[in-house]
This record gives sequence, C-alpha cells and structure tokens, in this order.
Amino acid sequence: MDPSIIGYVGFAVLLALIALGVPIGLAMAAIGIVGSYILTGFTATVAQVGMNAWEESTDFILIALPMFVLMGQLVFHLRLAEDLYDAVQKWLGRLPGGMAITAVVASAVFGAVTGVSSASVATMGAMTMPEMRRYKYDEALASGSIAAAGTLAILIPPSVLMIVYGIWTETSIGALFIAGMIPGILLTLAFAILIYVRCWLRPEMGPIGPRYSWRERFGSLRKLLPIIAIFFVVIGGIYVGAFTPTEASAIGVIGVLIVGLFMRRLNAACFKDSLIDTGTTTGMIFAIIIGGHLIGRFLVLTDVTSGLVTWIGDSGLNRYVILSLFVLMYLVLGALLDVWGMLILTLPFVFPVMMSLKFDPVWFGIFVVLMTELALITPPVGINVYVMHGIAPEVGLTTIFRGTLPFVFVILAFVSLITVFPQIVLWLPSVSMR
Amino acid sequence: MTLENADSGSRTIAAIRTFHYAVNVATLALSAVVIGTDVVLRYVFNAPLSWGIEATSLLLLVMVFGSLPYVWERGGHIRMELIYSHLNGVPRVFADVATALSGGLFSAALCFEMLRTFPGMRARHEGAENLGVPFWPFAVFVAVIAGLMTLQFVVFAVHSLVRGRG
Amino acid sequence: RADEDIAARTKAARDYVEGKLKVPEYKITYDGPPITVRFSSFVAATVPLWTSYRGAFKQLEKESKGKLIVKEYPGGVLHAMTDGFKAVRSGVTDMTQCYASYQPTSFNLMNGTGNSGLFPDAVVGAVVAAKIYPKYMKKEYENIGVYLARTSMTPAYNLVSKKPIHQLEDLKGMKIRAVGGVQAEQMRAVGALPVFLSTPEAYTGFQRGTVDGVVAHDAAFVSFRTAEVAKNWADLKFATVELDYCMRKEFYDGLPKDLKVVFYNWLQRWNLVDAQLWFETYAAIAREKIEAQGIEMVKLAPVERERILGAMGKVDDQWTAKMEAKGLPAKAMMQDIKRLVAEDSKKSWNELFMETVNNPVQGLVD
Ligand code: NA
Ligand code: NA
Repeated sequence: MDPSIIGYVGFAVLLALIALGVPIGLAMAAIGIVGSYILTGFTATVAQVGMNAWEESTDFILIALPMFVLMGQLVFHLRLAEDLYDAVQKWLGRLPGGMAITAVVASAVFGAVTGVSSASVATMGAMTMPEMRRYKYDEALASGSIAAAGTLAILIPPSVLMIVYGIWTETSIGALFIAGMIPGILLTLAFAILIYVRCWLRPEMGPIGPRYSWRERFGSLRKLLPIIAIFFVVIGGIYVGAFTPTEASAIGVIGVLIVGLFMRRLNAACFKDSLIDTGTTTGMIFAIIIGGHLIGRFLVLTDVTSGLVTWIGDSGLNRYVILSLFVLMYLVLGALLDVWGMLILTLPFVFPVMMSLKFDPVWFGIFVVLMTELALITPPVGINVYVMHGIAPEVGLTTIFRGTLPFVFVILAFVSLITVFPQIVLWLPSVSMR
Repeated sequence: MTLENADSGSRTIAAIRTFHYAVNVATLALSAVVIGTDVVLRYVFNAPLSWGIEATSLLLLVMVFGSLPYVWERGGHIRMELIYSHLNGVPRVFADVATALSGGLFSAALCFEMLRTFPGMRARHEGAENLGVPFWPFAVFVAVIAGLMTLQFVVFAVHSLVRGRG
Repeated sequence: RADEDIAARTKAARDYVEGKLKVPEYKITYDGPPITVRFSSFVAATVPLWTSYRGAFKQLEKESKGKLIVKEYPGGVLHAMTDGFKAVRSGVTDMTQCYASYQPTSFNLMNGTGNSGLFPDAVVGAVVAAKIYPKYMKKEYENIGVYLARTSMTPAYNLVSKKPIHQLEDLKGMKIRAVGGVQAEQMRAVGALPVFLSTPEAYTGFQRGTVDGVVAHDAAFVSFRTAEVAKNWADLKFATVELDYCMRKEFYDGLPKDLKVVFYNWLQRWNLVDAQLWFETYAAIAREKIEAQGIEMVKLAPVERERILGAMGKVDDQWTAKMEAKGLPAKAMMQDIKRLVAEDSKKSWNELFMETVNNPVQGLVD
C-alpha cells in the first residue's frame, strides 16, 4: 500500500479515537506505534517508543516545564493569584465587562510567572468564574474570555512553547522571550477592547462591578508587589546573564517559596498540593509530547505533511500568500490536533520553507505561538476549553467554544498586524539583546 | 477512579498517590536545589558545576515516569469529553477498551523495549559522563513503571467490560 | 583572497560533485530494483552542509548506475541527534551521524582524537582518522552494534569571546562554554572555567554573559550565531572533534557484492567532499564574515599557542596513562596519528582527494 494512504488512514483513525474520548496523548502514541509497525516492523517500532520516551524525558531544557507549572501552582496555593485578581479587579471592575477584562489582565500578569497555558486557565478560571457568575455575566463571554486569556501565558514570557520552538529550530530562547513581550501586551489590550466594546453595545452581557475608593485602589497595588518582584527576578536574571531561561524556571520556584515564607503563607499542605498537582500536569503534558513525537515519527514516513509543505513551498507563490496558506493549514491542524502533535508534524518542514522565504526565525516563532493560541481555543480539540470546562462543568463545551470564537478573529487580525509590521515583534529583541 | 469500589483498589490508589508525592518532592525539590546551586556557584563564586545538567535530566525522567501511574488513576490525561460524557452501554465500553488498548500498547512496548535494552546499556557502560552514574538502573525504573501502567490499563479494560455486561 | 584560495585548494572535490572529475568506473551486474539508502540527520535542510551532502548523493547514484538512491530525512524527523546509534541499530534508519561523544563512557581509544593539537584541519583529520580506525577503533565502535560508514573531523576549534585573548594568562578565570568532558578538562588545564550550557541556550548564555567565551569550529560560530555577539576571535586551534557516521549492519551486509564496493569507496569520497566543501570552505567563509562584522581577529603568536597547548598536554598525558593502565595501546595510537598527520600534511587537499578516489583506505568494514 502507498505509505501516504496509510498516513491518511492513520489521521482518520486518530480523529475517531479522539472523538471517542481516548486521551489525546495515548491515541497519538497508539496510532504512531501501529503505523510505524506497518511501515517499519517490530524492532524499529519498539525502538522508537523507547527512544522518544527516554529522549524527551531527559531533555534538560524541558525541566522548565514542571518548574514553570510549579511556579504557577505555588502562586495559586500561596494566594498570590487571589491578591493579583483582587488588585486588578479594583481598578478595572467598573468598566463595561469589567470582570471579564479583569480576568484577561490578571491572566496576562499571571502569564508572566507561568509558561503553561492550561495552568493559567485553571488558576484564573477557578477565581474569576464564580465572581462573574455572581454578577450574572453572559456564560459564553465569561468562560470564553478566561479560556482565551489563558493563551496569553505562552506569548508573554516565560513560555514553554518558546522553549521547545527554540530547541527545535536553534533559535535563541532569550530573544524569543523578549520578542513576546510587546505582542503579549498588545494582544492583552486587544482582548480587553473586544470585551469592552461587546459589553458597551450590550451591557447585559457584562454588568459593571462594585465601586472602590481611590484609597482602596492604591492600597491594593501593594499586593501586586510579590508577583512583580518574582517576574523581575526571573526576566532580569536572564537579562543580566546570571542564569539561562531554563535555569530561570528553578530560580522562579525558589523565589516564590521565599516570598511565601516571608508572607508566612507557606505551609506543608499548600506545598504538598502544589507538588502533587505539578506532577500530574507534568505527566499529562509529557504523555502528549511523547505521543505527539511517536505519531510525528510515523507520519514522516508517509510523506503526508512533507508533501503538503513541499507543495506549498515549491508553488512559487508570493511569500505572503504562502504564509496565508500556512495559517490555513495551522487552523485546520490546530482544530484537530494537540499543540505538540501539530508542531512535531509541521515544524521540521515549514521552518526551512519560511527561512528560505526570508522570514525572521524569531518572528516566525511568535507566529507559531499565535497559531498555537488558536489551536488551544478552536473546536473540536481545544485544550484550554477543556480545562475551562473542567473548572466549570455546568458550562457546556459548545458554550465555551462560542465564547472563544470572537477571540479567534482577534488573534487572526493580530497575525495580520505583525505580518505587516514585523517590528512589533522584532524591535524589542533588536534593541535589548545586544 | 478505575478501582473506586474495591477495598484493595483504594489502597492501591493511596499507594500510587503516596509514591507520586514522594517522587515529586524528591525530583522537583532536588532539581530546583541543583539548578539554584549551580547558578549561585557560577555567578557568585565562579565555580560552575559540571554535572548539574546531567543530574537534572535524570531527575526529570524519574519525575515524568514516576507521575504517569497517578495521572492515569486520577483521570488526568487530556481527552475530548464532548461525545464521551454522553456515551452509555456498549459504545462506552468500546471507548474505554479503545483507551485501554491505546495506553496498553504504549506502556507494553515501552516496558518491553526497556527490558530488552538495559543489559546492553550496562554492557556498553552508557551513563552520565560527569556525574559518573550509569543509565541502566533508570531504564529498569522506566520498565517497572511501564509494566505497572500496562497492568492499570488491563484492569481498566476488564472493569469496563464487566461493568458493561452488568 | 581567501575564497579564491579555498576554491583552488578544493578543486578536485568540487569537480567531483559536479561530475567533472574522472573516477574509476565500476562494472555493475546487479539488475534488481534500485536500493534505497535511508539517510537521516539532525541537521536542518537549511544548513549548507546539505548542499555538500546532495552533491555527493548524486555521484553515488551515478556511480551505482542508478542502483543506490539516498532518501533524505533532514532536521531530526526520524530520531533525535543523540539517538544515532540506537536508530541505526534498531533499523529506524540506515545511516546517520553517530558521534562517540554522544556516549563517551562507551568508548576508550575513540575519545583520544579530541586530544589537543593533533589535527591541523578537517581534511587531514578525516583522512588520518580513517587510516588509524581499523587498527585502534574498529573493535570498540562495532561493539555498539553498528558499522562505521565514514570518519569525519571538524576544522580546528577556535574561541570567540568578549575580551581579546593574546596569551595563556588571558584565559585564566574565563567562563567558557564546553561541550564534552575532554574539552572541559582542556579548559580547566589552562585555568578557564568550563560551563555546560545546552545548545539552544549557548547563544543567550554568551550574549548575556553567563559565559565569557565559546569554543567551536569557525563555521559553527556563524551557523549558531555566536559570532553575532562576540567582540573577539582567537585562532586557538587547540583541538578538533571527530564526528563519525555509522550504518546499519544488516543494510550493508545485505547489499549485492558489486554495489557494496561502490558504496564503500563512495563513502570515503563523500567524507572528503564534506571535509573540504562544507567544513573547511564554510570555515573560511565564516572567518571572512566574522572579520566583516568588525570583530577583532587575534592571531596568536606561535610561542603563545605552544604554551596553551603545553598546558593542555597534561590532560592528554593523563588520558594516555589511563588507557595504558587499561591495557590499551594509546601511546602507539598517538605516535601513529602524529606520524600520519606529518605525512599527510605535506600533501595538498586535492592530492588527498585523489588518493582517496584511487586508493581508498581498506578495512573500515570487514
Ligand atoms: Na508566560
Ligand atoms: Na483546536
């Protein structure tokens, strides 16, 4: 049989398994194993399983993954996230849709101390959803805002996705981190404006929150200090060369622990809960990374994605047309696949094409992050939406997906913006990284 | 969750949870300490560690595989529940068996491969150069965990088949 | 000009990949379907190394009368870089990079080619490494469960830094990014502090001052962009790194007899093509680029290089003693290397290429 047919069948069965509710990491691994077995036999297949499991879980740089998860967990369990929400809410709560805007801005700030999108949704969702329900916010708007705002965590440094992109494409992770800052702030602003406009047009969607005095507002700022301090230690330490972005993750954890000790909030229970949750999240993410690698190794042999990418790359089309085709491709793949599966399948082929078209590797890294953000909130496979649903089970998946849809358009518009003005991405690294 | 009704089951879950916690305390705390020490030694005392990266990499391996059994017990794997949550009877059993087969295929293959390769790793002296630690005990650790995971998937498949019939 | 010079020095290799060099013709009796050689590499298809690869692959197809065709898997799509040995052993690929430095604890004498001041350049390095392989290294390399496809050696390693290096004392206390155990020891021997940084972090680490210097061959300074953030370059030329390729036993053993000869001889031509058209050519281009960026190019005084190599020599002596204690002929190997290097350094790169074409080293594989 033609390998490409085996590839398409593999794709179809994968989708069927995912639709059926088979955990995504396990489904990808299984298809990868069966497909490799058909194409390369038993020995090569079990070797692939062993190699990928070993290689991914001993990659030093990926230690940043559990560390940045743990950092977020500690920030949550030490109630620093609560302080953060409280402070932001006192300032922005009175705007139309103010609670949802608060969720977006607080997620962005939280994103500055974690590198994992689902961690951000889980943390901010648990805090902001009950508040918004109390004020009778539109359910789609409320849950969609949180799910979408969670994606800011991988655009605003530190970012696990940028780390992995940097490894695979040999792009400077430090430059990627710096490059994500301005787009992160602009996209946060764009999300907030979207909510503002929608609630200004239809006030019943997002009623305004309670009033606070200026004294209370300024008083609340003090509570932001620990999080800001941690952010500056982490990013500042990378900047002055005290440590690398990977090492920064461990320094961040130590920093949060010290803050917790000083605030007398650190106790055995919250430490224990943080560690258990971190282990679970880490195991879950690695299952997907390893599964994603296995299906990627199989699909490579079928020439399915390389064929598509080569076809696009060789088409002789204008570089912007090719870029748009890749956006389309990522929208489709991102709808169906998990982030890691999507990147393993495409990056080795798309990256060389983009480089030959003279796109900057750092700029393309931010582009990939934005494509990933879309994947996280588009149906049927949108991890952030699942996590949101996990936190608020009474809000249906369809409702949340309806809520994320406007944000999808904002992200797409933002991709156009950075394509027309690449300086938005490249200016800060160019001035700060010399 | 898979063994929620059986008494021995809840003891198993408790054991897996304790193991999970112990592994994560050890690996997460040690990694943070090793990296933090390396940074301080290098930046402040100009005396970098040579084995920091190797040690942290192996700790990560232990962390990941030490966590996987609990991730499964606790239903921590990401899945699409849109259809699954509405499934009953035979379709539900079908979905669960597909899950068990998928996971079992992976864990059995991993267990097999680690058992197959660890003697070679040992014979060829594969190990961390600067840390001076051989790799093969870690391969055995992964094999044991993968074996345990295979068992978990088998138990899950049997339970869902029994439940589906009843 | 350096690029004209390098073009003249590598003319034979250039003619070879363009099909203009006269090479002995083979009589091929195999008339089955073309055989595919799966070649995988962690190197991305965008790196010019692939241009050199493809030039050689075309000649293989020609020399085998279309019976040996390479299928390319660039960018690490089949397996991770450090899984070369495993991937070949288990049949995931037929041929890939299998560096002894991936698992130095598995090797003994093979680790010795990284000793200081042995090889002047990539071309002599590749030739001499092949010549000593059958006697000293074959056993331990094949012990891993693969055949050697070809030896390969980097150009000499130099240093980029943020302060100029003119003498041994300037290296004292410098934090230098090291990749392997041997190089870390060499750095310590000259009073520098080896720092282990993973590859993706080397650039940021150097730029932000986590390390003060990076050692590599000159082409790598450009492809990993470390040169962009450097202020000084110094021609330490303290060591080279052996980067061998291995192939699957069953694949090679299963080739028809006539194609086996074609493939074996071609592998060594390919070896010199890479040494000349990739390593040394791009090292020369890189030096021009680095200089054009306004980086200070320090050429060490011979007496200062001698002092640096002298300090590093202690590490080599310790290594030799350790090997001899294990009953391994490290002393004899070092003497053979030095003798062969002296002989082959007298020949031009073009002469070495023709020697490889007409009289390839025998006994790399039985
Ligand atoms: Na972040
Ligand atoms: Na999606």
